Amino acid sequence: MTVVKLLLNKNNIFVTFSFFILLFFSFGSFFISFPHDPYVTDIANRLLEPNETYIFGTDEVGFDVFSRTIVAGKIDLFISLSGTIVALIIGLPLGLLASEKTRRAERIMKVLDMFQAFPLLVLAIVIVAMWGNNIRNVIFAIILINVPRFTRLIRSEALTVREKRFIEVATAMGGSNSRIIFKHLMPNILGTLLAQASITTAHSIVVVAALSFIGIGVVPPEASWGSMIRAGSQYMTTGQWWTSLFPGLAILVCVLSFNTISQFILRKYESL
Amino acid sequence: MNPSKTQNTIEVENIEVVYKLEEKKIHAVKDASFNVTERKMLGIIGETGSGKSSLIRALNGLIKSPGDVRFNNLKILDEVGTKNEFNFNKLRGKNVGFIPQNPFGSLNPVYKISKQFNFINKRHKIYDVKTLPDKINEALIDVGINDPDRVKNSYSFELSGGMAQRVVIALATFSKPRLLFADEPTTGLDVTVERQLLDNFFDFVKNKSMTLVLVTHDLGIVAQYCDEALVMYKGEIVEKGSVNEIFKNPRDAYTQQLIKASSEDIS
Repeated sequence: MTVVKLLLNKNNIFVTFSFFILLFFSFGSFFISFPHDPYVTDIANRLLEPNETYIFGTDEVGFDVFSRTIVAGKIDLFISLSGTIVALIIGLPLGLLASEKTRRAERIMKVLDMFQAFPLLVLAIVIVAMWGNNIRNVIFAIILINVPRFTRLIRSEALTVREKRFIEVATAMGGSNSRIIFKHLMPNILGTLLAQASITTAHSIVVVAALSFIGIGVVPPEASWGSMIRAGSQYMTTGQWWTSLFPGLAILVCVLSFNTISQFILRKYESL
Repeated sequence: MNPSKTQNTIEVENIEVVYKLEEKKIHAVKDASFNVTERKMLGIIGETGSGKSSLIRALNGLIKSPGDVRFNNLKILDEVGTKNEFNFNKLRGKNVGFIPQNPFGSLNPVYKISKQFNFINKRHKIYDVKTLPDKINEALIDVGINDPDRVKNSYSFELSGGMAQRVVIALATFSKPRLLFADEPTTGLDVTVERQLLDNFFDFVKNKSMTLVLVTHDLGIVAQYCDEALVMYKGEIVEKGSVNEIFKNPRDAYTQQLIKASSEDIS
């Protein structure tokens, strides 16, 4: 209910707008009946400029750019969102554990240091190359990239909150360790966490696009913004700008939307 | 131990608090021993950095320290950090209360005040859920809050400093503890409110057989309310005894200085 109220607020018009853009890209393709099937090529009509029948034009093999841009959102957003959520679910307990002053915490941080010594994008490429080129492994790569980030963020946030006097008071009032973590520590880092999750999703969209740009992950005929940009990139120099521009714009809009939402969450929680 | 001893007695032996700062060790409390019996108020006096707060936090098990604290012949500190900690946890917040310094930091900013009372009640099952709202109102009125309904439904950051301080006190005394540690509970409050709260404490101690350990830098409060006093200087207890004795006949040089300074302040 409060979410609906916030979205209807006139001051949050950009946030509402971002929210609906993301909704549209995630689920729109299930409800829209496209004038051209996004998975059917039409060689006779290849590389058409945007016109009345093909409003975003067609690409090198005659795919309709408009319908594919929207269909790609479903897959790209699903990969980046699910990857982020799973990374969050793994990173949250890890970060909370790592915020304790124990040996175990030190070990967790050591392992993370090892992980982050690799260039993570390269690691992701290696994973997908090794274990097979499918969507599940792309999600796995996204998780692997994001778990260390979440763990670090949650650890540093939890360390600050742990020093707060009210945690001490909760202990003095007889609160058990788990109770203090779940009732006092977690709610106080939730805002930062959600904001970070939103930004991470935005970043994951770019990673997914980068992966499919180099031909990893989502492969044609399945639509993906990254692979569409790659397909169009060869024709940019010869003047067929539309095949790359529209998926690129879609990435831009989605990343911006996630950033707007992240900003909004941070602002809401900071005013508390 | 003698079982016929009076109830609600706290005995403290050889408490040490040491902070480690890289290579340096800071001895905040050195070998503190004392005891307070039922219906007595103990005032701990000392300047900033003398180890008063460290001592009271160690007594409550918030800082791990070697030493021996017994409450009703039950070892408290020994339980902290061991398997028996759970037992002490049951006691804390119910029979043993703690009023911290800084009121704002002491209230969780994500919960309304009423929720924080609920937490304590849920943890220790003090009152019936039906009577709980009335009890919360009562507790808030007791600490001099005239509009408990508004305060109850506020977040801590919506309250003024004095108001938050009073809520903290209400939370600590909500379960009517047998033993209360108060760390500068009335600092920053109006003189009238301070009076009211200390009178409340006094009433609790004398009529509801509570034991109070009060940390303060206000000698006037100690002189007026406390039965016993303890003077700390650089982590050491330099003087302990009844208030009359200490104020009339201070033996330690630092205590003499302290009393002289505060009497000049008044005149």
